[in-house]
Amino acid sequence: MKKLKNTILWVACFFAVPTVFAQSNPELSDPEVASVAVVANQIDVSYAEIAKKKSKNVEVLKFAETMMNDHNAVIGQAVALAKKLGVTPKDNPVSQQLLADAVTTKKSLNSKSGKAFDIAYADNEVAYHKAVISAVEDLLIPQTDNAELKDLLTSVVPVLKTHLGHAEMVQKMLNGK
Amino acid sequence: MKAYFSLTVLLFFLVSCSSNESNNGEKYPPFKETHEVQPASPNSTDDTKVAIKNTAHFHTVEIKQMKFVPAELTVHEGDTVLWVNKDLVAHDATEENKKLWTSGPIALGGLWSKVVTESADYYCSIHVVMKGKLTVE
Repeated sequence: MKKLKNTILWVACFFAVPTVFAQSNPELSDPEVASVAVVANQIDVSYAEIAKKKSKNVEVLKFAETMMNDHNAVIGQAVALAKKLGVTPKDNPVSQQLLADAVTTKKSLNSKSGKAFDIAYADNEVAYHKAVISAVEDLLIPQTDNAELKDLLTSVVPVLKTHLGHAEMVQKMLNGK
Repeated sequence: MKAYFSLTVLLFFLVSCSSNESNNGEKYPPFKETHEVQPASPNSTDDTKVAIKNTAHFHTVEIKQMKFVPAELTVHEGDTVLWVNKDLVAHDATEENKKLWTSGPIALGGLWSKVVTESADYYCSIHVVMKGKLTVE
């Protein structure tokens, strides 16, 4: 019973990110949307940094490298657009909650090693990308007023979906071995 | 001497014909062996600035929204295919089965071209779920 309880707790922690978006339906201004977009990308870069330090699996390392490059590229474009529009990304409860959840996830990832780490990282990437895709589609895009910011968010969705497909492939490979 | 000259002309003619045989004798300028094409300026792939025209022996594959467009392309042997990255992130085009060729990373707004000599399944080695196919007919 205790084990079951622990499992439930662990799963709850693990899927903390989706609940942020699902439970609160916050109103966000464009500067806040910009902040959420940047923070969400930064978090995935920080997970990739952990993977690059801890993993020895070639496919996991390649995936982490892609995450770092792509999410940094998206941050670069979001920052450039914000600058062009004269928008300063503004801290908000959604960004704060994302960062708080990321602290928990990073702690959990850092506590693992070897194959257990690889599996935890791949599982988290699948869950995180699913959560971010629905957040961008259902929360950020509908709440964005500026057309260019909306366009950028819209064009990020295929990138995230490709990452999800890639993460699921890595996850499958790890579970198959 | 005259006979020798005629023979040379005839040989030249035969060679010319045979080199175009697979293309029904249609003439087209030879393509250089170099595969790297540098954009003239960072914005040179903007639709409004440069229209890259496909011809019978020159084909363009756009990389946008994490897809090769068109994903499947039929070409003649010796045709040139140009990949244009119009996406948010860097991509590459890499032969999938034996890693026979790769573009290396194509930056945002970057271009890469290749003379195609055989059919190939290719993919983006950065985003392994992105696939394309070249068929030489």
